[in-house]
Amino acid sequence: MNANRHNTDDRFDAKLDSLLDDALGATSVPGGVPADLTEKILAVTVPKLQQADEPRGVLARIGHWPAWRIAAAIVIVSSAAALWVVTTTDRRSADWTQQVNTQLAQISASESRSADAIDQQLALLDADLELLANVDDQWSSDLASFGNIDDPWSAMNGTTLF
Amino acid sequence: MRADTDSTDLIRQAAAGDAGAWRQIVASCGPRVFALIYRQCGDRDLAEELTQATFVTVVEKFDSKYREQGRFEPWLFRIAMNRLRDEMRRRKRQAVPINQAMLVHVRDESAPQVLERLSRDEQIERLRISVAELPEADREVLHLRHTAGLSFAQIAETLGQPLGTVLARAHRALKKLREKLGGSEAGQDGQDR
Repeated sequence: MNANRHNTDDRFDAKLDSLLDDALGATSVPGGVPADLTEKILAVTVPKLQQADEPRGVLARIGHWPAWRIAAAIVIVSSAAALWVVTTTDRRSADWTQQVNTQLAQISASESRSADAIDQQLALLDADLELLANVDDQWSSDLASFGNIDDPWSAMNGTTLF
Repeated sequence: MRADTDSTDLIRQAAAGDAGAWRQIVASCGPRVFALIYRQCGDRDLAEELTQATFVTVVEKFDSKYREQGRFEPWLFRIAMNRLRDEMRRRKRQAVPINQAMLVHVRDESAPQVLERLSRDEQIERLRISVAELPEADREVLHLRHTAGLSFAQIAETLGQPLGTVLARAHRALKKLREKLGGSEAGQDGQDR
């Protein structure tokens, strides 16, 4: 009985499958498929299809998602800016070299000025040393005369040291 | 029955801008896309509009998205289904099955052995109404199978679901139809006779 029921269910399903093909088939939609459907679709798609066949812009080739295109655009713009900077710097390199040479000349001039100043200072220092040496000589002779006296205390005219 | 639109050469030619190849594809798939959408939404104008939009999307994505050689139809019908769902979501309403108004009238007539008593045309009409009464998920599988003409494997690809799930849904849909149409009782009755 149960087996019979399964058999009849299978037969029914086969019949149902066939009926569903007829009931739900594309050509059996109420009112039918619009006669001009294909032409309407072609009218809006063929221009785009042929446009798609043409060589596409750089960004369009990169990817479909806008995020990719935006990222690519940023990279391209940054690269272009970097290239411009490099090119511009290169164009000004002659001026730049000239500036460097001028600065070097100024530095070397300031260095020579400093040497002169040091020479002058050294001369002054030499004069100071000479003056100091003279004072020292005077001091030595005073000490020597002080050592020759017999009574240093009296020589000091009663001056007490402590 | 229909042109083999999954022919890799045909797709490649169309993608390369061959209008003739594209015409073949549109002539073969256009009516099925239209019928699928129409049966789901019940709005003829909307179905026509969404069918055109589906093919426009296909053309726009031929280069960037279509990588599924030999799987053109699941890709096409997936776009169609997504278009329909987006539109339904936008309109904030469920797809209304066609002949909804007839349901109450026919439901009253439901009885065992319905199919056995009716002529083939009446059986087909009765079946359409029973399909329209099914839950959307079950109806979707039946439409993809019998309207779009896809295999179960292609339906699974189109819906992005495992094949087992799709087969289970189809089985469940047929079971519900059988119950609605009194198939077992009819068969049982015929067997006993």
